[in-house]
Amino acid sequence: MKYLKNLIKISLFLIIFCQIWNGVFSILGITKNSVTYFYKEPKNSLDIAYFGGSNAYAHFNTVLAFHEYGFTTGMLSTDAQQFISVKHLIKEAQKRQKPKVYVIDISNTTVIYPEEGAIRRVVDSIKPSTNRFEAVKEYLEMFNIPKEEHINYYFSFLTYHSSYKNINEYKFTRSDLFKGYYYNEYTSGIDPQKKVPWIKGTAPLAEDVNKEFNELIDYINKEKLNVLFIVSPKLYSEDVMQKLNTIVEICENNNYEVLNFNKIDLGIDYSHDYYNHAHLNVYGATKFTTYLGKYLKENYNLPDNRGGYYYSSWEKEYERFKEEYRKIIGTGFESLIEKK
Amino acid sequence: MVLTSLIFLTFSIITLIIYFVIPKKLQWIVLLASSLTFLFYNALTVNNVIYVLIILLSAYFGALLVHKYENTKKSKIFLVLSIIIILGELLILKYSNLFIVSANHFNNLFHINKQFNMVSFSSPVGLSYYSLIMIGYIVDVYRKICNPQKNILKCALFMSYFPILTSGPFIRYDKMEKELYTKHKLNYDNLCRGLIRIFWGLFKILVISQRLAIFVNTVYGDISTFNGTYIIIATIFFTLQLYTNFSGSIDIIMGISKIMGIELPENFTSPFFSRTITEFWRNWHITLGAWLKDYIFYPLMKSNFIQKIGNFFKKIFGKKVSKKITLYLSMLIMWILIGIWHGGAYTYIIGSGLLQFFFIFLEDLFGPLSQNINKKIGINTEAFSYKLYQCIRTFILFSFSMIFFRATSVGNAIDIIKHIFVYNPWVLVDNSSLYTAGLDLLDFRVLIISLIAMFIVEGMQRKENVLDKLFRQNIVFRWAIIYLLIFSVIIFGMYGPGYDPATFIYRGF
Repeated sequence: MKYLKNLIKISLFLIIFCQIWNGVFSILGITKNSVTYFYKEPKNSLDIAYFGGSNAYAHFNTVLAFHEYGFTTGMLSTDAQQFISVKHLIKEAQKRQKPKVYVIDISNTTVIYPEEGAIRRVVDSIKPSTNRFEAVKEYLEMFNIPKEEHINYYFSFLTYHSSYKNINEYKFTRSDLFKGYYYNEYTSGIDPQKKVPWIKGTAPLAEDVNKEFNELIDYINKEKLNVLFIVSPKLYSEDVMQKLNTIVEICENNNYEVLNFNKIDLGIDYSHDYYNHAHLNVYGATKFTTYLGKYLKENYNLPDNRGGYYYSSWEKEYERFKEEYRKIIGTGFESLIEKK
Repeated sequence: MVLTSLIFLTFSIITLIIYFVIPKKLQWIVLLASSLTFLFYNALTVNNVIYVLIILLSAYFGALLVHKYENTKKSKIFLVLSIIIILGELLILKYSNLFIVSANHFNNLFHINKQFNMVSFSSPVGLSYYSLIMIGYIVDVYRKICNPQKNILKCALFMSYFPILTSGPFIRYDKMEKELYTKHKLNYDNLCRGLIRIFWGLFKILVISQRLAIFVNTVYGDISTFNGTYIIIATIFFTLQLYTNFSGSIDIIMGISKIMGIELPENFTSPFFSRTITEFWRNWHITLGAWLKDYIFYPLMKSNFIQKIGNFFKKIFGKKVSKKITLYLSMLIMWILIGIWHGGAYTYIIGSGLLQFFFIFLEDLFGPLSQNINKKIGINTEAFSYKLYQCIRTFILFSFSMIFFRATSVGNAIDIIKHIFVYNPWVLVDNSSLYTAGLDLLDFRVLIISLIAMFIVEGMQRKENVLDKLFRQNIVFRWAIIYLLIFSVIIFGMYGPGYDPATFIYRGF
């Protein structure tokens, strides 16, 4: 009896410990990002899983897409996301959701950034699991991280515990993320750009990029996933364009559809629709979302969840987005939608 | 293997699991295997194995022979012989350079044109501990306090019990025999108390000591820039760093042992609440003091050499004074040995040896006079304010001596003392200067709150066992305190990338 009592006490103690631990490290851990909010969605409630670097969360307005077309999008984008990350984030999406389409923005995948942040942005966004363990392992091997540092990646609290010194609002919540879409005063800004024409021709991919891309293709082939690759509308160097052409070629050879938004006329006004050279502002993002949303709706048989009992949070987030837009821009978002 | 490292944590957890899973009669073998792994983890060399074997075999056979020939002259011969071998190895491996430096100084002084080169020996971890522990064991067998251990492997376990190899405490065979070799069950109470003690140790080391070390290292590393008030603060901080580091290590060691059901002797009992240096040393590194008293001081007092000196002075100054002289002489020898044990350098001999002797000597000499004066001018020596003054005075004296302990050389210590007299008290209040020495405002806040918490616990500990008190509380409060402790270590502990694993000041001894 005493043994049982002690066992219950220990179990209860450990359960409370884990709860406190989760609470503490949800604040001290990596700054909240789109992936954090992906985990908050109810199981099997998302129609699309969307991957990519900053272009993904800055360009595709998930709440607008829901409001206009009724499908839900889980944004699993992290800054400068690489193919190696996409594979592991797809696995996370598969664990919790049954997306009908996997949209992969390949704009940022031609270059590998061998830095700690590139690893942490992805692996520390993934919840503890064998998938996370494998992601860490692959990253460490790819970036040749010294062995003595490995433990800091496997057990991220070793790094984050001291971030109590840098606690800010973003550690608690991200009011500028709307179901993964990134919107604030900065992304409402206007930074005029000049259009760079897309060039033809291909260039070989870096060895690591090629390897990771082939692994991703193998994985989605194996899983028989419905994948749409996209190239975001932004200003690329010639080298990057040629490398992207190579990737597009491989995708098409594998019978995957690719939308290159640099070749599609979205009605982007280069003098008005960018907040910096790489990212569309809210005006450009609205044009992009309207086009891509319609395309997805028409081509992938996506459901219309609007008005559904479990989808009220999407309506609320859209209202919050509109309110934020009105605060920043000064006019109603409806007027922008009507223009499109 | 540093006590606060993940490797040590993993090592301890594996040991504990195996210890409780295997048949109880084999538990001591698990401990032996773990201890040998720990002993040779960093340095499995032929030399180290030989060094360890020399001490083990000398102590093992020495004790057997001492016991076999008890009450005969041979017994004493074997006692002396085994002590000479163990002590000889310790002196050669640890203190050769002290003799070389001394010889070179001597040669310089007398213009002898001969200088010896310094030597470097790699020695197995914990040599200073288990050499003395094994000497104590042989002497105890000689004194018939205990019987010799006939199983050499059990003797090896007593010598190398892994938790104590880095920081002690000094153990005695008669007390440890039951603890190490008897069967232990996993006990809920022991588990809880052991874990809390481990986290308390981690709190002291990772939250307090490591933070203090940053400030201390910055200031002592550049005394030209960080002088005056900075050095005063750094000196106070170093004393606290030394204490939290050392006593924290002991807490971890005691905690691990407690989980296994093994009780070790306490090594600290709130030393900063001591009113005199004499009392301070009764509460600081208690087991070393006790060892030296039992195996050095008392035998020395009874030795022919000291007796002869006593008799000599008795004829000149009378019985009372000659008694004092022999007492002080024995104490002086003991304190020099304490200094030498702390490290083969003059800084240690002065810092933790001669200065301590000097303070105790003054206390003994002027104590009665001071009491008389206090009585005559009506000072209430039992008032809180007077006790506080005495504690602060003791703390300051000890901290001053630690300048030598921390310094790289005697010259460096004198240099540090000179730099104390630079007048710059404004650094305490000008809102930024203090934060240029490695710790920011938030670190200072964490440090101050943690130190207050530590002193409150230490103060309570003087009255009763804090763990007993905690376990009498209701579960909600009790668990809240435990979670607070654990998460303070996890969040505010200085570990992980960017921090070196805590280095143990006493580890090298």
